[in-house]
Amino acid sequence: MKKLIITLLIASTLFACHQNKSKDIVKEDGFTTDSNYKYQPIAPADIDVKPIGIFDSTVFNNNEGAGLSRRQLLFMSIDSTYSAIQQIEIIKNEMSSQSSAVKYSLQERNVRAKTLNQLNQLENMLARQADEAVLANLKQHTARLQAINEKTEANTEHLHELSDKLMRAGIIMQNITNVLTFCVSKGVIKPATPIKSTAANVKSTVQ
Amino acid sequence: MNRFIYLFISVSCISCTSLKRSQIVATEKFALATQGISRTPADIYFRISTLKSESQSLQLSSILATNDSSAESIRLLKENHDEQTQFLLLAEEYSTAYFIVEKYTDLVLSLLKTSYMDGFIKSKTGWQSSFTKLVTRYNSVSLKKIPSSVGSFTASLLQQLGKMKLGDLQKKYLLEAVKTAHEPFENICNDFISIDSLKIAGELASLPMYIDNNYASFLENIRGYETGGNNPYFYYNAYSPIYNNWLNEVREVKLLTAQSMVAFRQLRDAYSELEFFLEGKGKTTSLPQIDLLIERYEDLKDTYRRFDYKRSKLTMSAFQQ
Repeated sequence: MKKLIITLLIASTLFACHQNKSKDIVKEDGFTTDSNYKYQPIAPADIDVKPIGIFDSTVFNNNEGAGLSRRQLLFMSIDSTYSAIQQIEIIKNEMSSQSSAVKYSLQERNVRAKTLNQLNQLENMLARQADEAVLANLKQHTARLQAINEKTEANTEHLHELSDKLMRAGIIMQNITNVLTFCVSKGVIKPATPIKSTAANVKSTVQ
Repeated sequence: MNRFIYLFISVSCISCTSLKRSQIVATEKFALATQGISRTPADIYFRISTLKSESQSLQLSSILATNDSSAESIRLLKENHDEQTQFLLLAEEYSTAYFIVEKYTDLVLSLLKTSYMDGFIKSKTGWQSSFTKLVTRYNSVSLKKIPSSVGSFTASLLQQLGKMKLGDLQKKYLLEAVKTAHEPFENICNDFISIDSLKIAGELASLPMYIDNNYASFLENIRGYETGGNNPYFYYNAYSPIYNNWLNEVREVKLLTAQSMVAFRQLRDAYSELEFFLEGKGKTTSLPQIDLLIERYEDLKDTYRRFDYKRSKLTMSAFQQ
C-alpha cells in the first residue's frame, strides 16, 4: 500500500512540474503562448503611402545588439513591398489621368497599354515574393521597362511624360530590390529552391 | 492518513471519468466556429486574386486590340495565363495554415459524435497524407514551425479511430488533441492578425487603383475605337456591369477582412478557456470567451448571407431593366 502511495505522489509531482514548465512562455521575439497576452503589431495594419528613401542597411546593423528580430524584418519587407506597389499604382494613375487630355495614335495607345501591363506584372511579382527568385525577376522586368522606355523616346510624339514615369518606376524598383536583397541576406526571404529551377535560373538568381 | 489516501484515489479517479455533455457541446461549438472562420482567409485571398486577374485580362485586351504582331499577342496571352495560375497558387499558398486548422478541426470533431466519426473514418487515409503535405508546406515557409508532436499525435489517434469506443476515445484523446494544437493554433491566429493583415491591408490599399487603372486603359482604347467612327455602345453596355461588380467585390472583401480579424482574435482568446473547461478546472458555469466567439462567427455568417441577398437582388433588378 505504501508503495502505491509513494508511486502516486511521485507521479503527481512530476505531472505538476510538467504543467508549470509548459505555462506562458514569452519568446524573445515578443510572441507568447499566454492566451491573455494581447498582441501589439509592430507595423500598422493600414498602410499609408510612404516614400521609400535610399535604403540604409547600417540602421539595422547598429540595432542588431538590441535584438532586431526576423519578424520585424519580415514586417519591413512586406511594408516596403506594398509601399513600392502603391507608388507604382500612383504612376499608373498619373498615366490614366493624362489620357483624357490627349488623343493618342494607335501605336501610342499600344505602347501605353504595354507599359501598364509591364507595371501590372511587376506589382504582381512583388506581391508574391515567396523566394529569392523575385530578385532575378525584378531585374528582368526592370530591363523590359527600360526597353519600352527606349522605344517611347525614339518614335512617339505624346509619350515624353511616360518616359519620365518609367524612370520613376525604375528608381522604385532599385529601392525595393535593395530592401529585398537585404532581407534575403538575413534569411527572412528564403532562397529559391534549386530542385524546381533550371541551372540557368539558379545562376541568374545568384548573380 | 487513510482519509488522505481515499481523497487522493478519488481525485485520481475523477480525472479518468468520461467527459461531461457540456464539455462535448462547448468543444463542438468551438470546433464548428473554428472551421467556419478558418475558411475566410482563403476566401479573401481568392477574391483578391480573382479581382486582380480579371481586371488584368481586360487591360490585356487594350494591347491585343492595337498590336501588329499576332506572335507577340499570343506570347502576351500566354503570360497572362501564367499570371492567372500564379495568382491561384499564391492564394493557395497563403491559405495553407488555414487549411491545416480546418483539417485538424475535422479530426477533433470526429471525437465528439458518432456521425462525425463515421464520416471521418471513410476518408482517414486521404486525410493523413493531405494533412502531412500541408504541414510540410507550411513549415517550409513559416517562421514558426508546427512541431512534430502534432504529427505523432494525429498518427496515434488515427490508428485508434474505429477500434475504440467513442467514449473511450474522448477520455483518452480529446483534451490531448486540444492541448497538442494549442501553440501552433495560437501562432497561426497571430500570423493572421499581424502578418496576413499587413499583406491584405497592402493589397486592399492598392486594389481600387489597380482596378481603375486597368479599366481606364480599356476605356482609352474604346475611345480610340469611337474616334475611328465606330459605335462603342455594346462595349459599354457589356463592361459597365463588370466594373460595377468589381466595386461590390472590393467592398465585400474589405468587410470580410475586418470581420475575420476580429474573429481570429476571438479564436485565439477563447482557446485557453476551452482547454481549461476540458481539464475540468474551476467551477465554470459560463464560457464568456466561447460565447463571444460564437457571436463573431454568427456575424461572419450573417455577412455572407447579406452578400448573397444583395447579389440576388442586383441580378433581379438587372432582369427588370
